[in-house]
Amino acid sequence: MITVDWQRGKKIVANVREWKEKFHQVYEPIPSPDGEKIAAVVEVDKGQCSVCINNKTWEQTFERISFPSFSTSGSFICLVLQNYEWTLAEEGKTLEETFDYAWNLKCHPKNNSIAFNIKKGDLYGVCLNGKAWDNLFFDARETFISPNGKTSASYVRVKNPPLLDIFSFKEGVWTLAVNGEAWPMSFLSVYGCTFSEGDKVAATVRLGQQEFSVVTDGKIWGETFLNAWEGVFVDDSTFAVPAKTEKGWSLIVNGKPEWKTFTQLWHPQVGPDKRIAAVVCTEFGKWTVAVNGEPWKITFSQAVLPPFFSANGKHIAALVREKDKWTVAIDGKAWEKGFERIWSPQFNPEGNHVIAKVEIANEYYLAIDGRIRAEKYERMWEPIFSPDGKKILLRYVKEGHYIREVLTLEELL
Amino acid sequence: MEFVRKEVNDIGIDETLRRVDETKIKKAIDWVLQKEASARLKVFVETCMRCGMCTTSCHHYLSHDNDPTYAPAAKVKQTIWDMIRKKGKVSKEDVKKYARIAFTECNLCRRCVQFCPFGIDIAYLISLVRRICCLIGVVPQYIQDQALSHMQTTNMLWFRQDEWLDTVLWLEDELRAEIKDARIPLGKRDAEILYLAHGLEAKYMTGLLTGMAKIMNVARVDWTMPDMDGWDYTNKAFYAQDHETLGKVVKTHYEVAFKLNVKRIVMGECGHAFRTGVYEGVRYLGWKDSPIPYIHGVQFFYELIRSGKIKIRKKIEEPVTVQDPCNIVRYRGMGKMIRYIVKATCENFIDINPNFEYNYCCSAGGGMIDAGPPWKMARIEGGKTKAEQIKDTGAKLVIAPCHTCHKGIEDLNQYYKLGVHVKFLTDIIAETMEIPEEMRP
Repeated sequence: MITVDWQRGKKIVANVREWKEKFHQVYEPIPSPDGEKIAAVVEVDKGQCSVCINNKTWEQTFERISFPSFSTSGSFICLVLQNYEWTLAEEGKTLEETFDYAWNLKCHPKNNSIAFNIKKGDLYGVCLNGKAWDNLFFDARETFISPNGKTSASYVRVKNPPLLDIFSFKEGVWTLAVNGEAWPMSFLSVYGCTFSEGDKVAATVRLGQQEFSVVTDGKIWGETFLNAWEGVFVDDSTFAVPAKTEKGWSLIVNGKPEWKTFTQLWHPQVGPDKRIAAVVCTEFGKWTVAVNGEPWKITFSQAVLPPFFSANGKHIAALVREKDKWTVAIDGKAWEKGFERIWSPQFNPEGNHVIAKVEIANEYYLAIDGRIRAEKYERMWEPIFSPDGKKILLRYVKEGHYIREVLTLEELL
Repeated sequence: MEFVRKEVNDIGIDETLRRVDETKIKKAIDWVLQKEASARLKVFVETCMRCGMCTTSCHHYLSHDNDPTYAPAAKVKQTIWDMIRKKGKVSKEDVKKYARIAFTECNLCRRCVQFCPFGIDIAYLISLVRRICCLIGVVPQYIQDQALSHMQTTNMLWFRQDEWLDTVLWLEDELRAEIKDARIPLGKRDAEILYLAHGLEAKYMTGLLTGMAKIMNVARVDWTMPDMDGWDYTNKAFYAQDHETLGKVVKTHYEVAFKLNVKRIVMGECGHAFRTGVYEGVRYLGWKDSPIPYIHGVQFFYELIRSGKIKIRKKIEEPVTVQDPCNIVRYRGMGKMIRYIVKATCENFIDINPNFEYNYCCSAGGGMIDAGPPWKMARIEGGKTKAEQIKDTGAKLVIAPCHTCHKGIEDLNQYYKLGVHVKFLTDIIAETMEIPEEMRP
């Protein structure tokens, strides 16, 4: 993957303000994960789009460019339209195969596999690493890539009754297709597709008005529930899903309720030590995080976003909202200060510090453990910890210049 | 009183009833009355004194020449009270009648609540009837079709993801003929505003979405629309009282907002979607209020005009009146904001009478228009009071900041020959606003 330069110091990468004079129109800039590159979709002329990376523009132009991003390996990828055909462009080179439509471009954060949804004629599917599925369907929604990068999945429509044929639709027209092979049964809806580390795949399914269940590798659980949200693999043979029973919402593990019930429960996450943390509503209007079924004592009235673990699994944090401000809660204790917005807080490897980009009065700052660094930025992206946790990479725009800067944790504390 | 109605066939009701048995019907009634209905049901059943104060508040009663079977309390008596009295042992014919009353003779507009000395929420009681029908599977075909679409796609009309993305791209191309370098951003992270559209605006009413995009560009709003499911703010599952789907749709809207990290959600001009997005769906999920601000088009336009971000070039001259949509005026008090915007954009405003929270429902709300062609005449006949109210203003233009009201009043106009035309605030603002010189192509 990418080798990041963790030498302390500041580097001006490009004057992005000048791009506005150079091009007809400049879309939102995107920095590379290592901070060394800044890119944007640009209109070199009316109806002619290209990509500018560190002041260099791709030679080829396109009618449209969508879903731009940096891949895990650091290449710039996007979906492009030329002569009514869409395809993938990576570092300016396009796939030979083109499609009637292409969207939902995804790159797996670990294996660098690239996939996107495709339309060919009137049929739909997925293209994974340049190879389109052999079987296509009446519809395909979302793209998922397995941890080994060799499998892709999508929610697909396998039956095509005419509009308003409600009785046929009620029999279920949706299922999951894995590498183009649809599961043998179809449902009213299917969602929450997720892979295990060992490439097993599961999803929540709806069978009837109040009949929800889970399908793992094409096999449906025997149990049904009044409602259910997206679940998660604990390991290859254990699947946990938030589901509603007559008593309330519980975490169901391999079909059996494992947690006490809550008013609401969603977004279970599994830590390195297999502990499970989830967002719960303990009573109407009171939200928090529960760990292995035990809620934090502190609750928040407006929102709690999906919790996340430190790399060593010892600590759990979540973005929370109270009194119209966002803040970070860690192990049941919230930062004192609230912000207009916070972006993806991150633990250091030991889990004893948390950094985040925060917004105060339309300006952006680095926050560490709830304290704000004085320097403010007109544009900023999420800070990144070095693997040893001793350095922090900042990527920001100041006075029109895109800058990457590495600071030491020590100087920030 | 005799319940006399013209026969209407709807396979969502009739065919479903042929396929279910009484056991399923009783199970659904018992479930809702014993497990889902709150203490409100008991309180309302025990406190109603049959005083009849609600009777003349209902446009269906008035529009049907004071037929007592259309009185709000009578609708409750003929449905939920009947189920309670019969202890759930009801016939298929009974269910057919319940469904007809609940889906096509009550708009859940809550005008009657204001006249009840005890504040009995009749719309809540009728919602329970709909919920029971939903669990049996007895839902008007056209509403059921939309709810089935929402279940997987979250949009109301089975729109594929590429159809949504492609539509927005060509709308952006079209808009550039009017606004230089206009953009309709899709999936832009960190924008101030996530804008959600009505499903119909992506297919049959694209001009309205272009109009909103024009306003966003002229007001220089930092905005985006979703490049994923969740772009359609409608929630037709609400009409069916399909709580499971309703909750999923609302959850999706907020999670798209969290994913894109916007400050707030703005939706267009629609009543039921605001009702689901701000309270019905939100509370079903466990939130007391919307977790981040969820702003209706009326509130958003009010902000833009008051702050001077939108300036009006030339006002509309013809006589104008307004429709106060129940879900945003009676429920949420936006009547003054509507009038502020109308007065800022129109020279000759004639208020409707009665108005604000006492305004009559358009007769299309609460799912009646979504029940489709089989029930069109039931809706139009129930809207006679609304039609007379509009005619009395003498206005030539009716501004209806709600998709349902808009279409409902268009149909009333055609049937009752009112001689008006109907517009959204988006139409009016896009037409009257000043476009800065540098934005002109």
